[in-house]
Amino acid sequence: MKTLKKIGICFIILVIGFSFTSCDKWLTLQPEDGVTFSDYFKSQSDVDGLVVGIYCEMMDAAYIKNLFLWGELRGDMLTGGSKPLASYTSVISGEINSSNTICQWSGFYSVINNCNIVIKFADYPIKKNLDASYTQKEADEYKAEALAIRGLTYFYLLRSFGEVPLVLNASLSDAQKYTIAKSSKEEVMKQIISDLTVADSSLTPSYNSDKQKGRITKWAIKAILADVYLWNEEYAKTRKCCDAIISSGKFNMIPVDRSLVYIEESTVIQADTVYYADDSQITNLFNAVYSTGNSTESIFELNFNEMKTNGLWDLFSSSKNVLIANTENIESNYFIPYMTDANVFDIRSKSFAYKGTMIWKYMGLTRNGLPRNNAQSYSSWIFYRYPEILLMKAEALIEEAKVDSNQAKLSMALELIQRVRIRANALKNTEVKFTENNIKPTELEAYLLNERAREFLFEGKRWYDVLRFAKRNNYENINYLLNLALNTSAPSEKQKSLQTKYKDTRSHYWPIYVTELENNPKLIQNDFYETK
Amino acid sequence: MKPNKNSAFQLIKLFGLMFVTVLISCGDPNANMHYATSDVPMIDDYLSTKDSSLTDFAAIIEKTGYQGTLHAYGTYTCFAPTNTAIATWCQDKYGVSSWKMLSIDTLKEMVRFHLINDTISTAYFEDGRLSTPNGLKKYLTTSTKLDTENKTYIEVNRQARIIEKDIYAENGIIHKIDAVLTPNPNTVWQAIKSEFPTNEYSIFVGALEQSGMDSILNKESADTTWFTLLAEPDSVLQAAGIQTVSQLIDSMVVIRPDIKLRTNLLNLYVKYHVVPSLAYVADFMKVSTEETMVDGEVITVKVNQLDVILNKFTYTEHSDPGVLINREVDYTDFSCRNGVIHTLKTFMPPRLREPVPVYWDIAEQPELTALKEFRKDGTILNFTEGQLSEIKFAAASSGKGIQYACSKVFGLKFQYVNYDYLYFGVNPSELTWVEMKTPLLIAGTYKVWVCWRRVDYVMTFRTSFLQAGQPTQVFPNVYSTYDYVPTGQTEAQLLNSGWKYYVAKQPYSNSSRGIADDGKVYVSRVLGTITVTKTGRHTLRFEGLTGNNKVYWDMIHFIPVGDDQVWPRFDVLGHEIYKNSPCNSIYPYDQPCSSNN
Repeated sequence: MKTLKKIGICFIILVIGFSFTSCDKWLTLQPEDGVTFSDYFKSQSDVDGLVVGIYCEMMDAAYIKNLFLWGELRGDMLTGGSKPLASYTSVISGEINSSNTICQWSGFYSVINNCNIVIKFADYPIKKNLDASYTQKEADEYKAEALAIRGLTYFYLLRSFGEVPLVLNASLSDAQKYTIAKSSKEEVMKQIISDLTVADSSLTPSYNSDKQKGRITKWAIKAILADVYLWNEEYAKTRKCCDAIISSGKFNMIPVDRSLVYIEESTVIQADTVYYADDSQITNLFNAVYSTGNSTESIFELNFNEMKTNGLWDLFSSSKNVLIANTENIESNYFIPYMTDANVFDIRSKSFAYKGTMIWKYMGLTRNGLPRNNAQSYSSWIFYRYPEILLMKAEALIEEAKVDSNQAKLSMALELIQRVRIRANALKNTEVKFTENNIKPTELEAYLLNERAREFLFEGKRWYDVLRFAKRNNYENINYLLNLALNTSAPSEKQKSLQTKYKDTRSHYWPIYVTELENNPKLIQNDFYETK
Repeated sequence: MKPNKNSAFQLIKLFGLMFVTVLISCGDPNANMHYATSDVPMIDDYLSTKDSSLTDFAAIIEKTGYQGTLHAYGTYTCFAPTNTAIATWCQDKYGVSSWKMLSIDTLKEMVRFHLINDTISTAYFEDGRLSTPNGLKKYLTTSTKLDTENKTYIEVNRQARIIEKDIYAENGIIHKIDAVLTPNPNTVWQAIKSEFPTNEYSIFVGALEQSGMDSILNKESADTTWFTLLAEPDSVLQAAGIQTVSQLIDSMVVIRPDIKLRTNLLNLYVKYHVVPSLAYVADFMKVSTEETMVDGEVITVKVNQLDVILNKFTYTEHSDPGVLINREVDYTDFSCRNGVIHTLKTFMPPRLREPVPVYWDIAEQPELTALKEFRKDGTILNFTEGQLSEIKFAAASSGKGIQYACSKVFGLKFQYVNYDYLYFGVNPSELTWVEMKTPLLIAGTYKVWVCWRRVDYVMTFRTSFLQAGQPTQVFPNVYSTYDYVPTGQTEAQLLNSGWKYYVAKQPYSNSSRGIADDGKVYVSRVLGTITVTKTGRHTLRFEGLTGNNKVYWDMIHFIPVGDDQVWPRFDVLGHEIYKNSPCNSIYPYDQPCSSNN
């Protein structure tokens, strides 16, 4: 019933949205100041509708596509398909300018504005005594959802643009000019942490727990916070958030059994062994996590449906063929095929994350079936899955151990990485051996980054991961980015300049889109992109 | 309170309205668009009126009479030095306080050095030289560099920084620079002798002097004589145990015991380090071999990420990791009046060479590769007699010629290697004959394969191989462009009758026309066997016999007779594809393959 209602509202908003896109004069005849608007907040269900509206806005292509593109396009896992878009291939070549539509952040500020409206008006029916059954606690919970999504959205903007304007008040009419200057990275980070911690304290573990993973829960907030603290290099806090999720017992990695096989011509004593993963369980895993969605390992995701489909289809379908897997890099560095036995493979590789070169995590209707057609394009966008909680905790442990050289932390981190690898039947050819009590944090860190690349392939994390590892401790490890430049599908005559650009840290963030600069005179362009 | 349906709907309506207004600003939707051509200035107008720091360059352009050029419609790239830059140049180079005191010829040369007859925005800059030479027929180099604060900038010709890039004028692009660009007045010899650190290149310079190569590299430049010198610094030679020129010759004795005279050995070493053409690093990256001044000897080139590797061998019994061009130092891509100098990272002894296969994409013509449209999607260019220096032909009537086209669309019918092809007919009503200069072929015996896309009309042609001082070798086979690759045959059976497939992906099939699934339009046929008696570039001649239409020509393969004639095939990106490669490792990875991969 709930889902049905959500679909309905999404649909109506969408239709109205389209019908209002022309700026006809008669629009100005409508009442549009805040007081009139407030009159519509008469009951809890009005507020609830608005909260659902935030999620609808997140499902818009302007949001979802950039979640993917900002996270992956500057990484090394994608390349142009047979019908490439110049705006994407120029990014891959390192030629980014402010008129590239990929830099449009308007979809993000639409979501933020919807959050701001809920934050401002959630308790309006209470203050005005309009709905007796509606409690302040319920209002605070709605606000918490909005705050969490606002925090998450600013977290994407922070990682993508660095400095962005902090819009914290609801925009209530056309007349209200959107002219706010950029805030520093520190200020944006402070706001993100504040939004998320307030949200965290307002929600009980049971909030939304009967619902699926498509709404904010306390665990979703903890997962976002863990990630935020990693970015902000506050590792003890990351660990605390991860531990809270782990000890909640609400999530697990869907198991995939595997059986030990002795390779022919090797003796039992000098055994050379491999593992076969259980094929039907791999299929179950894929179908549960990526096909059906809302799996037990999912913590927070966006649930699309027949009426509101996932716009990523436009990039990956065989008829569009805009972006495909950069298998040249993937299969020489991340999923190195095991040549002698086709039954031995990392379950996350072929026919899982990608099939042929199609991005299967979004295109597979099932693991083994046909690609989704446009109407079936409702694969979830997964923000956080349980394996990421384990790997974020591992990352925090490694970074702490860099300071205190604590081998216990390092072996705990290694164990967490191994858990993810074993479930995935990761192959020996991507394994790094560590000596007990002599684990080098820098080596383990590099191993972790590669494991994240494998586990979250095409889940919108790659560029942010590499940037986070590179920028840590005042860009101590810029080499992570320089190596990335060599593995991207940028043409060879561009790779040297791409490396040089990456040494200029301003280039790690997108330019502000040209029309935003024209509309908001207070915005100052990231000077890397200034033509002067 | 019960929710009021009406108010809820209005709320939603208003809500929808609001999110739309966040996305779209109201007002004149055309406010920021340019319809009229008149409001964008021409280059000269921009320089004289839009930027007060460029007025001197504008005045120089006016004085030298180039204003007419820069005020006309066209496609120019203008590197515009600031007034300060021009004043510094006058003072430092000529000791005068103003450009007004310089001769008109000096100023003309200065302007021409800053102008390129092509629009090259910074997005098209490659690591190395620009794709089109400037008005003095010299190539400008560019590189992305970091300043002391780790901020990137683009350096032009190692002389100037771009301080404002990509200013779009009506007839081209302006890049504002902080110093005047000047051609290097030194020849290759003068440069390595006087501009390179003496104590770092002493052995190599000594070898050039002793061998007499110094005077060759010092030759006055006619536009056609260029040298590319591959210099080995002392540190590199010392790492190979060579401290003196004499020891250098000693090391050559080991490599070439057949050569007795020490002067000949030195000559061999020195000439092997000179490429008789202009080759920046960017040029090395586009070829598989470069000729040397040693008669018949070439250097092979491979590219791996940032590395340009010379003479790398992996397929012979004694594999060799090869020699890297050192791209990190200033003494690579070093422009001189008559050429360019690069620095090598390790010692590069001359190699005796066995014949190697040459898989030639015939669109790799010098006039074409120089264009920035080369291998860009959607390019279609027509060439008439005399416009391509290495393809000569006789048109049957005026207007007939050769078309170059590139379309980055993959399909059953669209699998041209590198996505491009040359489109022309060799027959009595199109081009009566065509002569192509081959790529460099090492002396040996080769089978020659011509690769084209099959067309729906009959055109027959005969071919021959021409070598200076040798009798013409006429190929025995006359082929028709109408034929499909025969169906139902194995690779070996096809090979026996002179056929092969050369594209890596799915063959074209058209069951509606009664053609079986393995009917193929991408055809490769063997012309015959040639003997190349002297390493070099020779000529392949096509003569039209019958027909009246055009054909899509893609590649010509010269494969030594002892080598595999069938593999590798090629994908649309030009990659070599070997037998048993998994289909999804062949671009476009998601497209199916023929059954016989």
